[in-house]
Amino acid sequence: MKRVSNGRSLSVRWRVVSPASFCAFLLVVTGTAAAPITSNTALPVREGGLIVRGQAKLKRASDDPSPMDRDLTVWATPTVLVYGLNEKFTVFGVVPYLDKRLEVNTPMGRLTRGDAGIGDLRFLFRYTVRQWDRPQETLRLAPFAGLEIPSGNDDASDALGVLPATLQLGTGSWDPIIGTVFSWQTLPWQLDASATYKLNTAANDFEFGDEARVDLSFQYRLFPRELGDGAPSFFYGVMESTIEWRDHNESFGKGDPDSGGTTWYISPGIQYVTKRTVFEAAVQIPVLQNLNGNALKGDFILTTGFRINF
Amino acid sequence: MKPAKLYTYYAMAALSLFPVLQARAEISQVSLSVEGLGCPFCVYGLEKKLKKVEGVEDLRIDLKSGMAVMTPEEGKTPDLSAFNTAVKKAGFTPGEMKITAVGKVVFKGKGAFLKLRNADREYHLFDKGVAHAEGLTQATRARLADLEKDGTVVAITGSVHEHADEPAGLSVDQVEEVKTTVLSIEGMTCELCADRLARLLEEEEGVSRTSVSFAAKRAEVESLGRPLDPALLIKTVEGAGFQAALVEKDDE
Repeated sequence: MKRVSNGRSLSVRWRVVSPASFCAFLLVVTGTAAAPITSNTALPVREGGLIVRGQAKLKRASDDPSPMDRDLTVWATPTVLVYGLNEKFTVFGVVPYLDKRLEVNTPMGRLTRGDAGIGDLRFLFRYTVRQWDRPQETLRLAPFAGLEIPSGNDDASDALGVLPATLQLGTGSWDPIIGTVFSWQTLPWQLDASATYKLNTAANDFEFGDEARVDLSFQYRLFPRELGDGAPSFFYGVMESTIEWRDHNESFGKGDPDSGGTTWYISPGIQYVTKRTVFEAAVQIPVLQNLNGNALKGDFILTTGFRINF
Repeated sequence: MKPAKLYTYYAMAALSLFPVLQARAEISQVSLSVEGLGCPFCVYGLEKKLKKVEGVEDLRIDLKSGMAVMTPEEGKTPDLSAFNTAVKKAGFTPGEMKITAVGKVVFKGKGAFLKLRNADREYHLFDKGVAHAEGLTQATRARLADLEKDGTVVAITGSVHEHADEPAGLSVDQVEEVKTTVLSIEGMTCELCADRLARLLEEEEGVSRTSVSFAAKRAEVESLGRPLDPALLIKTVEGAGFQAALVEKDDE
């Protein structure tokens, strides 16, 4: 589905926002057990175990320093399949459905452009290299690596012509991802820290800037305060921090000065964990945005989701 | 004969092929400490793996204590190493495993062993903290020697230590004599009666194992350490609509 509200020719410079703004917040939807909401975990998936995770994410970005008064809305509903090849080796597959919409002032009036559909698929492999288990406590370290493949449409157009790369559902490029995650889980709380780097490659004479992020997540069991017998459901309060850096985009080998920069998100959230399911919600609030040039500033990212253990 | 009656007849005929019901496994309970378990979502994966171990009837996992407690199926003696493998495949680390095993004590050379009843398996008995060459304290050795001499059936509770090429070790934390009360039963008309009676008797306080035979018109009820009160058992049997009498050892 493509949309445009004004069919007249347009010569606006579509420096919307860097690609990571559309896609990076899909990057870390690979959680497995009771785990961070916006980032990854090193907790195990049993051999032959399958976890399905569904999410609904809303990103709004409307703080535009330029007279274009850009207003971006992205809905993303990624589905994540997690499979335990063995107790240490886990594979993740992410299928994102995206709906991007950008409103912008132009000499021809206010226009809306965008597209909706399946974005770029992502595959990740995670291997637990160190595991320290004690009664009611575990510490784990797990590097991961993967690839984002160009499955999303990258040449969509509307009445104004081909959509800019930043509004396409796919990047058209094969982009490797590497990172590592550390988790420390006890019965009353859990701490996760991860670092991720995505090396974006060029496609269609356009190259999105590389992305790096550092995540920290702390979950504290609010209920039940005292554990009874068996495996009761947990209700966690969650606080997460994400520092996200993006390099300049390049078009025809020339850097875009209005793209990239650094954003620090603080994300309060809640999580309800049973033996078979997890329900969760968090809002990522950008407390610090040091963006290049006239890059569009984000307002918030709202994330809700569930996980089912099969 | 109406079809419904016919099915009942066939069902009873099939059941009568099994003369003894409630033949409990000779490992009555397995308690395994699982390290690294920190939330209910993780428990599910562990449950799925442990339930796949052959011979497990009941499984309880307790997050607070980090323990998985398994009750073996009737007549099955599960492979204990399979529990450790299951824990590892679920992504966790198996810790101390405790079992209660029933059998007879046998001495071979300096070593004492528990030979499981109704199963081809034995455990090398030892006291915790005693050097391996001796294995047992003088007091334990003397007690076990008496039990061997009398041919007493015992239940030993302790920690299991698996070994690659020799019998697993079992620490002698608790030794209890198995006391058996035998009742003759009248009034049972089928195997279903025997099954129902066995379940009723198992619910009695202190009962560790029950075996009721329709063919032999007999119930064997076991307890650990303390003998059961026959009068209470007879009352339970009569409450179920049957007649019972205590069978003294001399009557057998």
